[in-house]
Amino acid sequence: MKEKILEVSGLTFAYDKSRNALEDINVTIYQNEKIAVLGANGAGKSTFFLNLNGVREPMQGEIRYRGEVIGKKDKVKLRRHVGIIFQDPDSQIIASTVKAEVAFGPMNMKLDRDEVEKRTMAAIKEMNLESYTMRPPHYLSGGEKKRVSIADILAMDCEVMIFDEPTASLDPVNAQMLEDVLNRMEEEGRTILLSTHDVDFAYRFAERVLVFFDGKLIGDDTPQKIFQNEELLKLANLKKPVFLELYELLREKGKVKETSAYPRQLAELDLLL
Amino acid sequence: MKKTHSHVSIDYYAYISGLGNWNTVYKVIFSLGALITVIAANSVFISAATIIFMLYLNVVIGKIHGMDYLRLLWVPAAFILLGGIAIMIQFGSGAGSLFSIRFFWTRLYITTDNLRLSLNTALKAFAAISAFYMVTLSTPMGEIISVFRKVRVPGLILELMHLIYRYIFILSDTNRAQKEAAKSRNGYCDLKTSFRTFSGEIANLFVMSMKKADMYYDAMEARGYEGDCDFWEEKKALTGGQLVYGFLYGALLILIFFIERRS
Repeated sequence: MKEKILEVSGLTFAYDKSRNALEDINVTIYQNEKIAVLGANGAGKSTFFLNLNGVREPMQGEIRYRGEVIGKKDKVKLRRHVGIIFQDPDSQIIASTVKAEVAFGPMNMKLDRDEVEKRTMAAIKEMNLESYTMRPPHYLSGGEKKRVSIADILAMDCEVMIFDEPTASLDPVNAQMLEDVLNRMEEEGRTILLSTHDVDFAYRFAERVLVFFDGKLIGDDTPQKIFQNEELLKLANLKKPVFLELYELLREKGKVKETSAYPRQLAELDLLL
Repeated sequence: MKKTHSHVSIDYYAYISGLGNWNTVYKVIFSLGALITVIAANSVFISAATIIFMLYLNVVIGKIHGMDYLRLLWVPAAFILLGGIAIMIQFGSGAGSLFSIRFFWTRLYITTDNLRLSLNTALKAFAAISAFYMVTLSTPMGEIISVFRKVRVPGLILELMHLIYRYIFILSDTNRAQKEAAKSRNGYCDLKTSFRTFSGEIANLFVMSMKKADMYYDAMEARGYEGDCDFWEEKKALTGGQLVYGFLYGALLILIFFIERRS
């Protein structure tokens, strides 16, 4: 049985009094899960992530990390375990070189210089950024900046990695690179949460999908069940993934074997043909 | 063949310069030393030697393309030359002048003393800028800030310097995108429209900068920022090879000093 990492109960948060950005969110996140968080713009996905990392504080409810309630004083501790990669790397990158940027998190963790350097260089290597180590961030392309923003969090060695719309504004090559990185992280035992508007990617990648609508969690299930729920898709402004539609069409025409667990990858579909 | 970089900003050279591996404190001391020497010596030959030596360091050792280096010198050079001309030319009767021409009711003229003063001032200013470029064209901003930290500049100012440096590029990128979007809709088709578009851009940029600042702060907090920005600083060893250039420069200045005294 997988271990519980984050337990969110009764989480309510508002930026102003007019409306709640998050309302009574209850969800448990287990170790090594791959979770896609879906919902229209303004549904509360990013606010949810900021609460998980402690940047925003719940107005009501609580968040537990490995069973411990996260209070005001534990936020820094929480950030050592839960890292966020922001949607726009330019909102995240602050230092004047790639190396200084990646070292920023470990430096804030007050690690010794050797450990900071070791982690920084390992993260830079993992993101294939060795040739950019001393380059100023403003001389990097969008894809390279994205890799730097991921290296930022890798260097902090976080157990939970949160990606806020990671594939937004990435070209296909960089999007594929990112997907490989995410799969590698999962193999390393990390827990991954990501928000995306790309339902095809979410269906292919995630093993669990959370759906937000107007600050509320309205769906929490497997990708197959979520994307088969037409009513939920309509309410959350989502579309059915093309791959799922294709499989259902092939099944309807009797071209593939029936299976209870729907295929999510081409290789899986191929086995059923 | 080395490529020129006409499209990049000045800090790019710090990243590509062969002097980038030099010890930062040494470079700052070298540069400041040259600057003070040039000002104090008040000698055309010492100024000229400094200009040539700094050109050698930046172009030959630093491997910055010669045309790039000259292009970078051109902006201050234009001001220096204009200033030099202003010092060189006198108004009056033109007695004892090397050269004079009538100018309305008076004469414009140049004397040997003014020519010498103008040349000396221009070369001194040029040499000072060359000495300053030795640091700026070979040292990333983060390292320059680390030198400020070593001389006990308050942490808050250093943090602001780091963030402002990064922010300048983000805002200039945002403004470039705004400008292109405005141009694509004829936002700069005439003077009146240009003023209106420009004021709109600035207002929008201000709002965006406030929003971005909030996002920036969140991103910093998410990585454990608690009020003190601790940035990684590279430790670059001071080697004998680097010191050789300092000695060479010093020896050159001493040689010029003695030659000048004997003549």
